[in-house]
Amino acid sequence: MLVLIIGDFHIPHRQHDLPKQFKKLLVPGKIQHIICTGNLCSKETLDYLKSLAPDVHVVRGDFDEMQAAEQKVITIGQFKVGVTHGHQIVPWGDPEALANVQRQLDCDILVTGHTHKFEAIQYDGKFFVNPGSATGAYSTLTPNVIPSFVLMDIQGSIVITYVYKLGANEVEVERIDYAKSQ
Amino acid sequence: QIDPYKLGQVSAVLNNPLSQDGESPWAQYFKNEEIQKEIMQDI
Repeated sequence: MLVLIIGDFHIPHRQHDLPKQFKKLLVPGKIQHIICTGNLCSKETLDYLKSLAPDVHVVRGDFDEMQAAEQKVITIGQFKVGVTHGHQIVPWGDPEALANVQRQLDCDILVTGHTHKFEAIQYDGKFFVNPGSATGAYSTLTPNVIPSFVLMDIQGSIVITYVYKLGANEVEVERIDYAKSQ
Repeated sequence: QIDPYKLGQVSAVLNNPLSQDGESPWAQYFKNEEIQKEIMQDI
């Protein structure tokens, strides 16, 4: 089961489009679910995501004008995946603060955005993912943002996470494995 | 039969689900899936 995790586009305010190298990779028919961390910030971007997969879950970011939930919990296979944009969680990106939210939502994987910095950490036996900004949009929190997104392959109690980062000119891919603690 | 999970030694740049490279194990995996779908339809 392939789950795309992507967000912080900031189109059209800070970037005009997704990098063309990413657009080439994201083709319909492969991905089953999309989890979007918000700050899209336009309906066109949401429509684009809907064209890639049948199932799109969006939470509202601090720059989104559309109506969407502040946080969501989605069950995919054996995993409960919590998602929220993350501007509500201070200090931003802090593992301790994120773990609080993870316990509140009672989820195995917590997905957040906002910092525009890719992060995938295991903390207290749970998995925390931040896909970064798909467009590499400017952020006051992170200097020199590198465009990135995440693809999770959920197989039983194992999650294989692929990180796609835009290097100098080509896409770099990294793989991180996480197994659910029983 | 191709199982992309059992090919850990192949670098992630090639061995990832979004790879456009025809040499990627995933390319074969998606091709097989398509054929399987067609077979199911025909049955």
